[in-house]
Amino acid sequence: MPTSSRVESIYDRSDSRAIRGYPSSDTLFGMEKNLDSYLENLGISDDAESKAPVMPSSVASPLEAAPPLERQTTNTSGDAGAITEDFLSGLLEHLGSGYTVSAKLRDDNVHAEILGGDSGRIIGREGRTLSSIEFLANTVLTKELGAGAPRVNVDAAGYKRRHEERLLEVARRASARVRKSGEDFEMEPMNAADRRIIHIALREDAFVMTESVGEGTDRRLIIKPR
Amino acid sequence: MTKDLIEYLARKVVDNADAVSVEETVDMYVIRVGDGEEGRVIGRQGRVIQAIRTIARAAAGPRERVQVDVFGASSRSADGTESRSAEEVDHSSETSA
Repeated sequence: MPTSSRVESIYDRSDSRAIRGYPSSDTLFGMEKNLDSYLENLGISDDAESKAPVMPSSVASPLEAAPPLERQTTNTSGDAGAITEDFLSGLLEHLGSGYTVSAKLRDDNVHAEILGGDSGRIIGREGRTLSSIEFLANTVLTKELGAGAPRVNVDAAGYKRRHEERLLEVARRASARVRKSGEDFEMEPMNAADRRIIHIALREDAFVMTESVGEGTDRRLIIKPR
Repeated sequence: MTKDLIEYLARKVVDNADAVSVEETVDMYVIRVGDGEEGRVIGRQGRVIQAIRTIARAAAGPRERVQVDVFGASSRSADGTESRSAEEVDHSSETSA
């Protein structure tokens, strides 16, 4: 019977206002530090990386799979990009100066990126302000275009992209660990979006599978040998 | 600035943007919308109003308390007893998020 091992925390919980399962720091740098300690708890340090088992090539990265933005831009639903860009630039005018925004349709989704200005203000604690901005961008687009409207993804200064890269790294290392130990590995609680990223990353993994357990804010992934 | 932001967001999510107004009282921002449009600003499980609050707080800065509530045209009353409050649905959305 495989035993579960549970790492205390992927993120720094020293901030009492932090929500479980989310990075408590506003900055990516804080996250990086905490992630390193998490990876250390996994028994894998950056130094040991070269000695770590070879990653299954089946660990898919949606980022690597995504073609360059420009080539995929289409004009068929140019409206969606324009509506999103208009909504976001109007919003940013109220949040300070120096922001620029671009929104493009790619793979049936609108990808918007906010650059410049005070990116920390746009991102917010644990990325919550950015999530709220994205949610409202989706609300507005659905109101304008109806139920079939494309989904909007909003990033600011690469925050979401880097966060996703971090999660993929955690997925790769957890997979390597489970493959090596043959034991279940229980991750810390995460929100649905983060769990989904890891779940999808390991879906095609030949050696491990993922399962969600727990309820509400305690819901977390368990990586198991396949 | 925060008031303008709240008004901008509320106008974007309703059908009748002209009916939207925001009043800044002593301790909160009150969004007033046209008949039957409270639900637009509140959203399922209070998610729209919660997103508006989160963004309003980002605009206001960490020290300022920002309270935002929604009143429909048909439910306006002097004491606010008939107003539809989004606070209750909020809590459920926060715990289940």
